[in-house]
Amino acid sequence: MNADQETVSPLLRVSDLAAGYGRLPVVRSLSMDIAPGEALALLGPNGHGKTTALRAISGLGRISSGQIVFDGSDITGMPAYKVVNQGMMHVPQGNQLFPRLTVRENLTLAGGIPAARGQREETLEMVQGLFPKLLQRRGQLVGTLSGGERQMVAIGMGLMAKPKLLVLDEPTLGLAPKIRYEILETLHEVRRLGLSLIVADGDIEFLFELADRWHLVELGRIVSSGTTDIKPSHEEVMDMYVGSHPSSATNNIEGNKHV
Amino acid sequence: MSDALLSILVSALVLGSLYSLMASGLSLIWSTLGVFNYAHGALLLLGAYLIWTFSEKVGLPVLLAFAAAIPLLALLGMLLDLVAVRPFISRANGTLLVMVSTLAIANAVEGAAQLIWGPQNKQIKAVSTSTFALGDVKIASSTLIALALALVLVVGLITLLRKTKWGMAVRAVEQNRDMAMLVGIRPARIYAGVFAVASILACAAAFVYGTTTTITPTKGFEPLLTAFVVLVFGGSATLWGTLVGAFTIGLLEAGTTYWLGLQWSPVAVFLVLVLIMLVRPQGLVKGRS
Repeated sequence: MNADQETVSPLLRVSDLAAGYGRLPVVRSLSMDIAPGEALALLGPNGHGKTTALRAISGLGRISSGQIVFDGSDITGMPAYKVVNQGMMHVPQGNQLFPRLTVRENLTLAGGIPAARGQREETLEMVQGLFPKLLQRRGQLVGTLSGGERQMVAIGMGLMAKPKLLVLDEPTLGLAPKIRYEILETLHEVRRLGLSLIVADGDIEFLFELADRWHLVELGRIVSSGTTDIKPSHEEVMDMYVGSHPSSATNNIEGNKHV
Repeated sequence: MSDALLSILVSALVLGSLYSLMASGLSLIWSTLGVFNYAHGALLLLGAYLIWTFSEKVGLPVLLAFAAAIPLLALLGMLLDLVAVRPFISRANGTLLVMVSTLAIANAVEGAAQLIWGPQNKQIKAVSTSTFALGDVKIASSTLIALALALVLVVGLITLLRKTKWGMAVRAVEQNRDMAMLVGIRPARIYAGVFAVASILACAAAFVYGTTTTITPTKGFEPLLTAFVVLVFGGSATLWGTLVGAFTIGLLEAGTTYWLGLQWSPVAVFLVLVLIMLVRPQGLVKGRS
């Protein structure tokens, strides 16, 4: 994978991104590349800008400065409803879907974008093959599903849009270990389809199983990076999350209670 | 059935039709954008004056005048969204700002109507003056037209929201605006469409209103307030509730007018509003979720 990166032009290039809410910068000067077919993990304590960065990249959040180039075209400042049509699909946490629409309706809506509309039925079959449970539950309102099932719908919606890059925010949040494992297995399948992934999550083991490379995001910047072939030791994980930042140490622990 | 009861029923049908058309438009805007359109009465007023102008000044047959007013009112509704709702809604205290801006538009329209059409009473000609006799009571065909218009349009709106692609997009934006954008839906377009549809319903309400009562520039506000009571009464979660609420309030108003006199009907209506808010704040028909 690493060798490819030098030769293949990146699918997504984020340069010097700054973003935040109002005048408060949450992400400052964040840069990263993703090669086609690659899976990238974003690690780091909550509240340090992972979600803000992902929202800015997919067009949901406002960008203060920087540039985002996806699949050869500049998508900086492009609104989310256009970005998805370029082939990047951002899947927020499973509890943020359309709760009073059925599983089937949620999936069809995501498959309704112009780039995916033509193959909607085939994609739906593929997604239901990947998650047989969604076929069983197709008439049920998404708000009445379990957390794991909702996450399956979320990933299914991501696939329905036929993207080249799937952006997943906290896909394992609040899920039991067994369900996390199921999600991991499915995402491996998704990778075999040739999709690229950016995954932000609190579960480091999950991320190391899934991704090729990782970036550690702290205080809105990437503070260290590496590949996932070397598993970090317990101390290193603690270091990543409690951080070498003495000033933010307490914050970090607070932010990660759910892990 | 006594004739008194029958004439109350007839009057309730007309009022119920008017309120259901007004309230379903308000409800659609409320559930999709989360704001209350205080200029909805102004849309009603403009619709009525447009129909009147097309019929009296241009000389079109009433039904044609109504048909001509529909697209114009839809455009005015979208304009209202563009100037009074969209610039404010995503600000920090958007709901409050939209309340002020739509109230301002309502006042401006009232003033403009005074200038353009004057303070005199205007009435839209009835489509047909034929009546049906039911016992001793004569039911004007306009009553039946009003009822048919309200039922067809409100049930049509329910179907539109439930069965069509556009309806699903509206419900998606209503439930989760961010996620809707992520699946390629452009909220601004949905909002414009919602305002157009609500304005078409207001135009139909204007037709019912203008053919059954006289219009003056100050008469937009009262049906708006009653439609608001209907929303609270029927519960804003489903349009079926709105429909039931509209005809119940219509019946209440017609009944109090008949037995106690016209001046008591707003009292009764707002008394019911207070009671409902105390006893059943979720409204008559409880929605899912």
